[in-house]
Amino acid sequence: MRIRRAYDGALALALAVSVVLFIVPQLFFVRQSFFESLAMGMMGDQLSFANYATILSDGFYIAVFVRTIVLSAIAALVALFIAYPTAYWLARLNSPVLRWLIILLLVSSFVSIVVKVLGLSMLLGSQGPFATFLRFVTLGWWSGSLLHNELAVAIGLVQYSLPLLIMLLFGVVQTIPKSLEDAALVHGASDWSLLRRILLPLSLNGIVTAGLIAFNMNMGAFTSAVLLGGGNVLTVPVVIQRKIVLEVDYPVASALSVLLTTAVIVINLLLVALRRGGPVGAGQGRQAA
Amino acid sequence: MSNTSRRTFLSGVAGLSIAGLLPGSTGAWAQGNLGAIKVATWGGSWRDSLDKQVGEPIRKAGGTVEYVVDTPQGNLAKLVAARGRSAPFDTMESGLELVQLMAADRFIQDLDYEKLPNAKLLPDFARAKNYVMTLGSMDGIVYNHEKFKEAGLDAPKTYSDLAHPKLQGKVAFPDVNHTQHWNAVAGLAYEAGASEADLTKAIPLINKIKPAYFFSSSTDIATKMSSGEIWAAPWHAGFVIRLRRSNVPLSISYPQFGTKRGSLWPVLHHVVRGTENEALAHRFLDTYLEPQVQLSHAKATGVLPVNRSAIQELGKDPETNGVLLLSDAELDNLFVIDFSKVNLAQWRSAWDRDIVRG
Repeated sequence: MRIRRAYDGALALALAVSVVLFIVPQLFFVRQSFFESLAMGMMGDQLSFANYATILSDGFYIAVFVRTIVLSAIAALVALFIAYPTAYWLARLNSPVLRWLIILLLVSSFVSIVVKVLGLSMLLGSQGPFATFLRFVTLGWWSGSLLHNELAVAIGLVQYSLPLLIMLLFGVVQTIPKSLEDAALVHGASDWSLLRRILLPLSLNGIVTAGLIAFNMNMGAFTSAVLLGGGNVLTVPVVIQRKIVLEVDYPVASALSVLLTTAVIVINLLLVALRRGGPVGAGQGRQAA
Repeated sequence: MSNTSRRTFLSGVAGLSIAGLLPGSTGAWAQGNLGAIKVATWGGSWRDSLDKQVGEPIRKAGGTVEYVVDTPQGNLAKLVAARGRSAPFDTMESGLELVQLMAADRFIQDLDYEKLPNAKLLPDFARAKNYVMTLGSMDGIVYNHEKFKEAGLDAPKTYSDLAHPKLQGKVAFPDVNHTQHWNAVAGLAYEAGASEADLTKAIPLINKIKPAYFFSSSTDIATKMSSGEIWAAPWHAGFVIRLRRSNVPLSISYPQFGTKRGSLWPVLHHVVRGTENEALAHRFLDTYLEPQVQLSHAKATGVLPVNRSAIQELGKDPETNGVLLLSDAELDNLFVIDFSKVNLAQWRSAWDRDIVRG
């Protein structure tokens, strides 16, 4: 009983730290967002919804939000499409190499985002291998750049979330018994029906969760948008940074931040609600099996 | 900064400052334990040179200098964030667009010119109540003359020339948080028949140029200029000199601003209000203004010193030939943007909303 109490106490402490680290800073933002900006970081003393009204009635900000959501969603989907087969292959790999591949994956996820993005900018630059290849295959007709546009930012976002997604999905695929696949194959299932009728339904919860994590990470990603977008791709985090650094307008920056967080929460809740009406996931699948 | 005062400076202070050009000039400062200061400045080769020319003598005299590297706007944001608490740095480099804002909000203190003996060698326009102009960058169009030649293009004479179809995808433009942004947009406003009083007139021309990207750091554009990815950008002469040392074939052209030709961006230095080491902050600034230091830093970074004798010496440097405008007539005819005419909020909003991107 005493051990149980100590355990609960440790959990409560972790919860308290999480509240202090996450919710308290958010409360500062929320509070600031209701005051008028008097320039240079100074705020008025009257509470109002003026900052929200300004943002929500301004086509510029709406376009920035739409761009951020669409880019984040596309990048999360592309990352899922790449991560799932990779995770499956790793989960089914019966070799000592697996440990090293997992270590490699972990190390790659620890590399600073700035370093990753700079590496990408060399790859995608007009002197990089992709652009050189495209010039070659189009006989010089194509002379553009793969950098400084939404495509480059999306690629950066995929790169940003991919190692984490593979790790998450690796765990998901490992929970699906190999014997289920063997049984399906013995009964004549094709690879496609194995994927469609066994693997995807049983890993759907994990896929949705991993996809949402990637989406949430992308929504707040700043470095990729700045370095790969080259000032051409204004996303919400970039606009928030400009509001703070260039205009020192904390209230509007705070309102943008609150709206970004709200958008992320609403989209997550919507998907979770949609998911509740969907097919069974891994846990239920195992029980059914 | 009036032309009259600049002319006075150009002709009047040479004699006073020649003596200061002698190496090893230490001024009236005493040695000892001077404590520590933090200096907010730009990064890269600028910070390296500043540390070598100014930081090193301070360290030799018993002081410690650290640097906070960011754009002036970024550093101002740090000051704002630290409002009511101790200042995050003791001195700060900035530009004309920030002076009024910083002074109005009392982020910078009045300078004690008794503690800045080297400031006496400067012209009046370089000495203000709360800043000293230490140097100036010469802004124009930096371009890769070899790439231009290969493409059969003449040297650009105006900013609008960057809209040439052969330059599509090869031109970069300084973003709104980059120092060289202001002279470039003012130049385009003049080319559109307006002035800095209506920078929005520059927007259609920028959209016509359709820059490949908008750079916010000189290190970034330097890399892309060196690799040949970008052929031209509104930038400053200092990087022509610096990158030529690495055999990057760059040149600079200075467009007209009405009757003026070329543009100057004054680099200002402030002592931050609330500094805990005012004496060392002033000493740092005074060392910065020593003629020999002015010359060495200007040579290293390719900018214009304010000290007249340093300008004369710089003119003898072969690296500056054909890059910097150093004759009296040319200096007198440089454009300097008048920020009292610029509506900053309107321009920043227009920049975000009306520039065609992607």
